[in-house]
Amino acid sequence: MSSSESSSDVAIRVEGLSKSYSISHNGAQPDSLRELLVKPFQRSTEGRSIETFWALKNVSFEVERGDVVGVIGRNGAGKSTLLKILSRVAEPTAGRASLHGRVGSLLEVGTGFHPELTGRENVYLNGAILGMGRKEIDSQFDSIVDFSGVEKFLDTPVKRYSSGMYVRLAFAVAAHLESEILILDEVLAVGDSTFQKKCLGKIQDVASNGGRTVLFVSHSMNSVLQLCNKAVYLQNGTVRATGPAAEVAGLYINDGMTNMSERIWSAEDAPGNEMARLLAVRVMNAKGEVSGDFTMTEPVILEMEFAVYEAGHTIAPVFHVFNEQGICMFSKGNTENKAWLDRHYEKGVYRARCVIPAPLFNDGGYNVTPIIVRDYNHILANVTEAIHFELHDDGSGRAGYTGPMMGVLRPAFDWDFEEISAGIVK
Amino acid sequence: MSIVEKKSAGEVRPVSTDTSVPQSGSQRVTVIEPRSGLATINLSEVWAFRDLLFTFAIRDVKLRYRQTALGVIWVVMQPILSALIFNIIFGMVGKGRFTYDGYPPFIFIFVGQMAWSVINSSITRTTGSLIGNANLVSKIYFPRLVLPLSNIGSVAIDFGVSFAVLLILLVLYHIPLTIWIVTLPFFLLLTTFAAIGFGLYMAALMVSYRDIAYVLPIFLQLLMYASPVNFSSTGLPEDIKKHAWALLFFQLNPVTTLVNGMRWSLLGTNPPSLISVAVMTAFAVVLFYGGAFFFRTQETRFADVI
Repeated sequence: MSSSESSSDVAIRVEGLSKSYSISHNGAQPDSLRELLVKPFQRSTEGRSIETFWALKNVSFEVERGDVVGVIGRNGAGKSTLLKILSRVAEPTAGRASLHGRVGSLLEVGTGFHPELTGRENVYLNGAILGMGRKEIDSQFDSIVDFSGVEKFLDTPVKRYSSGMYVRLAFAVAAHLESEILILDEVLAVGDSTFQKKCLGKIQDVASNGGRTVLFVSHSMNSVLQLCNKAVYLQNGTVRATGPAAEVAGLYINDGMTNMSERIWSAEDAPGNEMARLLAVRVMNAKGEVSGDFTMTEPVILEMEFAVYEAGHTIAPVFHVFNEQGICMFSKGNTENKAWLDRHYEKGVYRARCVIPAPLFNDGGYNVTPIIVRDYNHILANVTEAIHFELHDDGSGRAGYTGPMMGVLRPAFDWDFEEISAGIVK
Repeated sequence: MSIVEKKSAGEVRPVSTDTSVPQSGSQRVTVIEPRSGLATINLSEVWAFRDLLFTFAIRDVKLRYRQTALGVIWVVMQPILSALIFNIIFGMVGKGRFTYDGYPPFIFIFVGQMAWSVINSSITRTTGSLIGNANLVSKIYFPRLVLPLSNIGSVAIDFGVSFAVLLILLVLYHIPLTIWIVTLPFFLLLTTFAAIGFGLYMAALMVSYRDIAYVLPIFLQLLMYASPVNFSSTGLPEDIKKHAWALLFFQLNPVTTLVNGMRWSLLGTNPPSLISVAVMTAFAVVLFYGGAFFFRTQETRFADVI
């Protein structure tokens, strides 16, 4: 990613790439023919405006041949927009990108798979959609089937496949696309862990043996660190940093630690309504300090402050915790503390705290959504992924094993062992 | 290599056209830029993706009768049944009011329905082709024209089956084919181009305005009854002929020329006038290129809006 390299080594060059979307307010842009026809005759256009939203703004970077580049950033940072432009699905508003070599892009596993068609038919259909010629698919067919492991069901419509089989077959087709540049959008978030591992291996093969270039979006810092030598970090549509994967990922983790572990709202913009409002939400360590950085053996404390303006309702603070793949780890309201369960609240300001015991989750980043619920079923306030915390691997639960730890949890369980026959076993 | 941090400032410069430039040697270079100026139809790029076009065509044909008990029988039954229904409505219920140039009404209507279904299904399929493949459009790049054009496959298969049925019917009714059958490819092409051209406008519009899905079927139904699909255009009932505007509409209606042309080539009925065919040919070319051009100008928005 240094510009001193000769241009023949550059696989992807992105210069000043920008993409804007228009967001209309109060019907500023006609959404149906009726509005289009009626609009010119309406006098009042007050309150109508079109807001321009820049999903990408002046993004520039270079990727050398053979690089495996992770594109990282929070939700809405512009990662998917960047990949859509590079794979020519969306057109940039300004700027330029050049890709040197045949491009294969996989923004979603199984795009174009048709449920009514058989596995065999879908391999040909999907291959053609990805840009493979009929002969190319013919020559790769056995290898694709072998990689997917669904040979027994090749002549079964894919609607009867399990989701795992479906993903395996779809990824197998894409993995056999002989492209010099491979663009992947979070395709590894699906599928079981064994197959994920196989895919990671396949991506690595593609990059190291073929001298091919891979650009891929991931929320999982683990995959980025394992797979990528470089990374591009996007923040609010601009490039925050580019460089070696470990350093950029470190910066990303660091950013998360400093600004996301606490949110406090003023009385004017507090989420909620006239019954109750959310005043603050934070993550704290066992010492009661606000922190976004934990080891896996430290308990994580989630705290919420809220104001109740109307007496007589039961109010329930609820936390939803999501991992980096967007999977909801749990939805938790109070059912344990009987004194506050079913309580009819008076007017006032309250604080609720819950402790996530350790060890429980696997390492990685977690987003917390605070919710206030009235009378068990009515949501008063809901701030999606308001705060964030990271669990760092401290080696617990590994016992000398050094590979990647699979699973969303890394809990501690009670084990029992006994020797039932002493001495030599026959 | 040290870490580089960037600030978001910097001017955004205007840029030129979107092209794929083959460079010297085997290296393929794709340049991605905002499109400026007029869109080009770029049929050569569509041709480069012909494998995909055929794959879509085959997919659509394969899918049509999956999980149906009678399967391919429906392809044969559909034109026969619809000709039968319109034969009952126009030939029997409206007895005497409509004429059939001395042909058995069933054959006459069958051929009319053959021509009409080329128009109807070309327009309907083309119009729905983007919305029906929204997932592909928002996830994968390929020339978008491939989707509407791939519908020619299904339309051609339907026509081929109907044509085979017609040959059997002609033998049963002792009606010989005439030399004018040689004009069939011309009229078929003319009809398909005009219908797909119109469909391309509708497809591009439907990405933003789903209203098309409700308006179009009504419009097509109206168009069919206003065209000589189920009766002859030469012997219109007197009470209709009295209205000058109705006659004018009949003559201006492009479907009239297409249906009469197709009937002429298949049955040897009265040929459409040379002028009407010439006008229709020019109209079809304009409609198709206009449609393709409009489609291409709207294309850049598809992935954002769909």
